Amino acid sequence: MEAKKFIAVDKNNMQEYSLEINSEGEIFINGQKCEVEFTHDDSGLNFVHLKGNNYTVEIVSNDQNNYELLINGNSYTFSLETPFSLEKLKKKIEEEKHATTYLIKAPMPGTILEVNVEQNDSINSGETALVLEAMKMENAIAVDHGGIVTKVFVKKGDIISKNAPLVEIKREKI
Amino acid sequence: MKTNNIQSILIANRGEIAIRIAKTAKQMGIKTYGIYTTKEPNALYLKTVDEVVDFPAREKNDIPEFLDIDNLVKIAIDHSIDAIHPGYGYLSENALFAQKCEQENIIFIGPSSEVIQNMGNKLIAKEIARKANVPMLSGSSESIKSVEGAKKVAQSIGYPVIIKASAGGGGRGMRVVYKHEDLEAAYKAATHEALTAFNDDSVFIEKYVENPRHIEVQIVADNQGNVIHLGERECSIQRKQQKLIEEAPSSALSPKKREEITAAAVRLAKEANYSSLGTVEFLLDYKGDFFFMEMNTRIQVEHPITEEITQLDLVELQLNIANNKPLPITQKEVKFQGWAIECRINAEDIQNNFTPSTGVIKAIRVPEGNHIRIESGVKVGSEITTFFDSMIMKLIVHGKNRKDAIKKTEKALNELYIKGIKTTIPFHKAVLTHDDFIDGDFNTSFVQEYADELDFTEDNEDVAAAVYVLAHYYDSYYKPPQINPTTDYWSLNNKLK
Repeated sequence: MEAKKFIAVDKNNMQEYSLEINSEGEIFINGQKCEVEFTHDDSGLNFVHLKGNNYTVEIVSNDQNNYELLINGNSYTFSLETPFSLEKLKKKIEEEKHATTYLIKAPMPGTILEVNVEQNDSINSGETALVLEAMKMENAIAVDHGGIVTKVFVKKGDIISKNAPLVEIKREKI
Repeated sequence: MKTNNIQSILIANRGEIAIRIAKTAKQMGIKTYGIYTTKEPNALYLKTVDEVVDFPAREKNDIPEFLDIDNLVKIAIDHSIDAIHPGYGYLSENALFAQKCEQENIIFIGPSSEVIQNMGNKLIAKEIARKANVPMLSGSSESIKSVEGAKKVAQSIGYPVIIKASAGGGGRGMRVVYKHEDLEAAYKAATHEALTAFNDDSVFIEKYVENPRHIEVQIVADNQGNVIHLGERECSIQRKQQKLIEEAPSSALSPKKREEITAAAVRLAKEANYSSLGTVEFLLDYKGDFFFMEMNTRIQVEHPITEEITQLDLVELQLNIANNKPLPITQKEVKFQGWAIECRINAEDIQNNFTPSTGVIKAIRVPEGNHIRIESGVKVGSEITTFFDSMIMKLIVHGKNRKDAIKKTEKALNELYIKGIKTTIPFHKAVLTHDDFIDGDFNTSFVQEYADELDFTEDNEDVAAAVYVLAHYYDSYYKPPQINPTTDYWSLNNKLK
């Protein structure tokens, strides 16, 4: 079989895992050979057996080399990269950090209870841009960086899904 | 006293509690009616009732169905249903609803509207507790009318104090004040919040107990005036006033304290002319002194742990009391056995500050065993939306003693898995393996104090995730070899097989 090398990048902490499959189908993690088994059961659950532990695994979303998955109920977000594509990814993330405008996305699905900002308003870091209601709880959505509101995507009463764009803000200074 | 003969009940609730009520009612030969709502057309509880009733078409759709008093009563009348069981939450502690049922000769399964009214008003409840000689925190016995009045009371009892809405609950209209200069702002905020939440701005002030334990006593009272208790429950593992793990009994009580606190609860229920199931909630301070907090006039979410240690069916007791039957047992006949723990499985993302997690449940694996009980409101295919409370399931485990119950709960949590959404299972695993919890050394600040430690991760979880991603990607884009035919080594994705 075809030998392959990848780097899995945990997008939450940018930790890298070097992964290799050789022509024998053996798997190496960070250079170490790794005994791993994958199984599933009748109820539709998938498992990884590794180093004496069993992990329940489910893929939440998969778009080409981008993965969001749950292991034992905890979230992990990975992208699989080659050494070349990894460099490009790092560059892109660095650029995003310095972008002048950024989007506030819905951290959860719910209903918009209040919108406190309008286009062209200025808002300070930590201020509440809107309030989202989900499962009877009110969640204030505050901004991380102050700036000028360039776009408001929602209005009071809107029902929105997770990660829906809410407000776009142009940062004052970086 | 004339006995009733309830032959049919309307369950004015949804989720696991609707299923729980239907189960006992069925065993007693009572016909059950469940309510269909458009927000949850395929709900599991609809499959466990004998009859499903459509909610009447309404002009204004703004009140949730289970809060719509007039229409719920109308359903009961239209279908000649004998009684209404309100479950917990929603209208379960609404005196107006109970009164409406009384007026229409529908049996409300719970105490009388008058008792609900009294215990729901914290100032009246405190007055009843005072008469029953139940220990209370020092504070105002009347509602506070002005900032000046608030200042006077606060100074006489000493800081910290807590301002509470008389009609309140669930943390709304509540403010803790540590310093005199903060009192005015807190008073104004609390009265304003109380007015918007309960349409009643009256508040009172009490001494604030920092980091107490939450202990509650289960009461059962019949309409003949007999009152017994079924022991206590400890509910100190909570976050933002929401209970997450409960256990019965509590490891915080000595036999003498237990005797005192349960006797106090019984005295209170008698003084209140209480009937049906009820729960008296107390705060326990670090010295071991307890103080009356409030009485819940309904069945509790955590009632199964009491059922496990007493081997009694609380819904059955409740229905028999509603039939005016006297209690079938005396206090002496109540036998307590072992230890029970309940974990509330919520559709929440604990890695993201307990935000709601929505989606469709794709698979469920539940632990099995004599000591394990699952109360679930969902099944494979259920959609979890933000319209309803996030609690979808309860895991209840019974052990020989506390240590045994903890071990068994931990094992059960390792076997429990719900695919398709995120749940609080990793939180429960972390609490159940936390030294302070195991030692019984905790109070209501536990979750806040150890917030960073309460997501259980197995060793090498990240590595397992990375290697799974690799294999899945390889499987999707390169030809999979057959390494070991007994396991689906490479065929990870069922649809690829």
